[in-house]
Amino acid sequence: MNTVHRGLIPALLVFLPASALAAPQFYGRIDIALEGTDDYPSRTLASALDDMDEGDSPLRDGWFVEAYNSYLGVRDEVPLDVGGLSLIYQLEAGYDVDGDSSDTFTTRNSYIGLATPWGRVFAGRYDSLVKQAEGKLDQFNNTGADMQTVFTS
Amino acid sequence: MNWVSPNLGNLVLKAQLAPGEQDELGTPPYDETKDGLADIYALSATWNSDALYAALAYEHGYTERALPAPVSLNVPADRDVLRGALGMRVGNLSLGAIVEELRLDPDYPGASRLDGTSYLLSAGLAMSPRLTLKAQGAASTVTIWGTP
Repeated sequence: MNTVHRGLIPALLVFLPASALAAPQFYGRIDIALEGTDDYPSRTLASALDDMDEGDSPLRDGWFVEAYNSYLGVRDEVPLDVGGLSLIYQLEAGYDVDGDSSDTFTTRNSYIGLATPWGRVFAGRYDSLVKQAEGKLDQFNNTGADMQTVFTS
Repeated sequence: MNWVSPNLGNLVLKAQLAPGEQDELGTPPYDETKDGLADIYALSATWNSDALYAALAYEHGYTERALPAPVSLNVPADRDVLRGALGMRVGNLSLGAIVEELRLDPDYPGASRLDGTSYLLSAGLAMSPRLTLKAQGAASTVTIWGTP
């Protein structure tokens, strides 16, 4: 009897208001910290060495209110009822909560694609695989002491 | 473009490719336009179980390299990065280590290659579910082969 109903589901997807289906997930994070740092002015070693005069200390110190990793996002996985496929998408924007930057929003991991039985395929903006490999090993991820002060990403 | 495999037990494979979207690199006549389909490509394998995390990732891409005097030119360079990561959890203690090898190979006759190695060691001790004591250290070394 399943086969009888299969044709109906795409039609329902079109005609039902979005709220009647599984709603997309809205999510976000506000991550504010008071940080005292003593570091290279640009926070990356390579560029810090560019502007040094002889006798200068490469270190700068100070207090900062930092919005480390604040963002807003929408994501969902919508079953297509065809061959085990699902539509997947995520729109995530970094939000400049502390107003330090001239840009209120920045693009974070955002994509659209398909989940298939052979894995997920998607296109958009996404972290490099090298960056993803850090997993949760960077204990100071996103802070002023993030590993990218020493690593390439 | 991303592909992420289904979970193969504790193993996940990933592949990535990105066109250069006509990035202009270098100063003529040592310039190059990145207009291919896979100017950047990357592969990784990640093992993730409760007690053990291990990952290996490789990326081939490009960058621009400023060659010092007497050349004083910006030239295109191949950029290769290999990163290995290992994490372990023993009771309340999480230990991590990351090693990364970076290679920049300028596309200019006689220009030297740059190799960089970066290391990280980290530890986290969960005192309670909401409180973790953390320590971390990282360092980087750069080797330039041949005359700049």
